[in-house]
Amino acid sequence: MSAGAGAKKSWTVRLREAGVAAMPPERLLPDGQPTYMSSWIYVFGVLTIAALVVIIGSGTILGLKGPAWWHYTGIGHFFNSIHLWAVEMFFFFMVIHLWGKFFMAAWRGGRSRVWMSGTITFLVSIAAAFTGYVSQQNFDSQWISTQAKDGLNSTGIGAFFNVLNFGQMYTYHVLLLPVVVIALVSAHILLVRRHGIVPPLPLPELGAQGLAGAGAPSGAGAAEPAP
Amino acid sequence: MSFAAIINLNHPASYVHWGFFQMSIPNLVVIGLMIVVFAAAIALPFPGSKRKRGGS
Repeated sequence: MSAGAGAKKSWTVRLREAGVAAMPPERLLPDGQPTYMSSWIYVFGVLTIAALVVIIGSGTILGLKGPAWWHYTGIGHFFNSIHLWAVEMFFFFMVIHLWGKFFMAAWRGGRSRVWMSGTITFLVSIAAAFTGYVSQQNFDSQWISTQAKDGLNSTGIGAFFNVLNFGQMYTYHVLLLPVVVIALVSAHILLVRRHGIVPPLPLPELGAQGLAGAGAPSGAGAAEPAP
Repeated sequence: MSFAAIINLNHPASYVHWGFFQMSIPNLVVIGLMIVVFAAAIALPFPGSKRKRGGS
């Protein structure tokens, strides 16, 4: 049954209208990108996401097969290495992405939430990687956890975050922290789409007027921050 | 079946010490690579890009 013109809107209608108003489809999936994005420095965000996809895929397989498989079989070693090197690539690309955005002051134009969501994702990712290192079930993980416990216990967090407790660390690593990372990355991407890719800093000799001519966005409103 | 690594990694990492600074060679190599890739990403032209300066 559809609501009449003057009838009170249901929560589903209000939610849909709020979602479309905050994120119009043409902004979520734009026709084009600003011309200033024709630079390699803009690819490191999506490379980080690609590495995250490989991490989740390889981690899911490792979780399903278990420690004996990843320690004692050839294919297990292979997926273990894929998981490790995807994490290496994830941080490699994310740090370059961070450097690029820092030096172009990517928090400009009302993009502070974009910057902060990325920063928090970086910090949570470190915790996710750490819980992975202590979940390996080998001498390396024993060494890391016994070295880390004193530092963590000195802060008082050891009562809640016990690095010697494999079950707890493994739950953090395969469920809790990945959910947080994926949620933060999703929010980060939606915020980028909402506010548009940050334009380069204006050149001193051109100024803001010159920037508009040299690197005008080709996408509809792609560079304009949302109100 | 085992394959020999291009670089033998089956030993503890070497470290560099410069005063208070201490870091393993592998970590130093990764940081150096990141700086090189960062510089290359800024310096190298992007395929299909056309730089227009002073044009309308």
